[in-house]
Amino acid sequence: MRVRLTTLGQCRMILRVASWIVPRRARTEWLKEWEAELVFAWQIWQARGGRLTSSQLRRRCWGAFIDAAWCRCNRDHLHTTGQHWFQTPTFVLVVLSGALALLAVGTANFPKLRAILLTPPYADPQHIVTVSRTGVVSSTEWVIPYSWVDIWRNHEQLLDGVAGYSWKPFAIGLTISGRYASIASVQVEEHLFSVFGVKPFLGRTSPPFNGQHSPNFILLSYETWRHTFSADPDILNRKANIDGQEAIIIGVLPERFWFPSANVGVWRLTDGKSFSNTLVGVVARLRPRISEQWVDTALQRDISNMTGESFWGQSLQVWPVQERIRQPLISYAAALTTTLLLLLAVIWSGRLNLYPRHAGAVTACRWWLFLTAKSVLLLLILLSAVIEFTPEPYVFPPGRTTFIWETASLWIFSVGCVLMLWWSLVDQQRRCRICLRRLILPAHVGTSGCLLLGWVGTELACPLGHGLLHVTETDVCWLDPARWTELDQSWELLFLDQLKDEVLG
Amino acid sequence: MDTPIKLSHTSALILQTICYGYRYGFDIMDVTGLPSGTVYPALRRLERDQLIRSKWESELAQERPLRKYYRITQLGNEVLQSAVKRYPLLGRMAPEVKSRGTLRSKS
Repeated sequence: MRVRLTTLGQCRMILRVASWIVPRRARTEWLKEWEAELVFAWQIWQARGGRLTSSQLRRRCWGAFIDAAWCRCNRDHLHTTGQHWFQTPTFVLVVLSGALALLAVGTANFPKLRAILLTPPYADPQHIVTVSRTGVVSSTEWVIPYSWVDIWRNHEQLLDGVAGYSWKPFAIGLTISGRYASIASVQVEEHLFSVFGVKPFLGRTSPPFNGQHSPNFILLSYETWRHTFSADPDILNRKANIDGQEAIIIGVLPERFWFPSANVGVWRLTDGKSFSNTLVGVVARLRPRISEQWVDTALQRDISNMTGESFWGQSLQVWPVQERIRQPLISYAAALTTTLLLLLAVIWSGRLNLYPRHAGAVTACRWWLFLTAKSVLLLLILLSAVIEFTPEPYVFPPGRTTFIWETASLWIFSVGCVLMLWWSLVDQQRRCRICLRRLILPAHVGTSGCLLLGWVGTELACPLGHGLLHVTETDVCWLDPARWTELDQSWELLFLDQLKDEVLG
Repeated sequence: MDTPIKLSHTSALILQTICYGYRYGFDIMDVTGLPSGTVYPALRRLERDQLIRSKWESELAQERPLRKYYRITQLGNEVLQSAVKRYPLLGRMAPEVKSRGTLRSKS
């Protein structure tokens, strides 16, 4: 007798536990049906030793979990839940976050964005400057004759070092241990990295002193070493082949170091003789407490005195490298600020009737949080896409192509800002002011021909019955383009019953 | 035009069992040998598709809770007819009940 009672108790306990899976609204009836079947089967068994054994009875009760799971989640339920989920603010945020994550994966974790935003691995980066000519017509006139660099080297009281580099990167075919890669490269003076004060990740940044000088010492960028040559730890002093010429790898530069362009993967060291009678880009390190303007004047005066150069209509420009790198961001920030001010003006004007004016503090806070999160995600996607999918940031000289791209990307960003923030506003307008769900059931109201006699537009309803949005078909000065009517709790039953049946249970 | 309802073999078997007069979940399990985890979700699906209809016993049961029973609908009968044509062996798989409510003798 005790065993049978225990069996019934165990079965009841199994059913109770399984019932927690069943949606709340159906739970009582579900449990009642199962317990009735259980009790009936148990009574027959008790009375005349029915066909079921206690283990069979328990097994049947374990099956209640599958039934309960079906009640909780089946194909129809998933379909309905999915439809309702598309209306929630969470859906928008998840989709936008997913798009940003996809972009991060697709671009290998935003290399260009990080190159611009993060501090470069230079010693005292605020003292590193480029020297260029301004007021020129041709893009090649931005650069400096190499003979001027030799003159400036004597300015020890102003400059801590100065070096030239071939300003335009070009693609080379690099072969190391049978592995071939086409990589952008620049030729730089051998002491350029000491001007930057950059410490190598592997090896050294200047050629070994052995009495002999070879022009074919090269350094690799961290990304090239890691991704193209699989982070080979024995790569130092290995012979490489650059378009048929032999070269020796003497070092790997640290992560995030890039100059003059983010796509440069190989730096070829030269003693400067190969730069004779050529135009080069110039980078210099200022001594502490020396201003750019001071250096600018002094360098220009030196050149005028030594070479008789008149700088007619032109001048020298000394420009901090870090500022030059981040210059596009300043333009982007200006465009963004303008757009944001417009956005706030639209919200505060109340023209779109967006803001839940009469809502409580929590609802208003949720409304602002959602709008902010959505807009920030949209802007992050736009900013990273514009920076990652336009040509590499380029330190100096800007050059025509770079200038065009910078201008184009700025325009794309500005227009994109306006479009995305406008979409964010329109999406916000078409959401419930209380629960932030997307409004449904659009219904056209009125007749267009009777515009002056009545209201013509579309009415949308909150899926949970919090309110109705009236959107006019045509802007009329005495009508709000959108009007939100909040419904009181008596309307909830009308909207909620079906939703609860379908989703909430 | 509505898409015709096509039953799986298991659902058709359960529907036919109900048609034969086995109206309770545990009875259907006894007759078909199907586990409860199969029978009950199938009953819910059949009821959702309006092939069967459930009702609570109205008569006063002695010392036991009222049970829920299932009845086949007109639509259910039509769908079952087409299912029998699709599954010719179906007719032989469930014994037609001779005395209805064998397991309901106490009710």
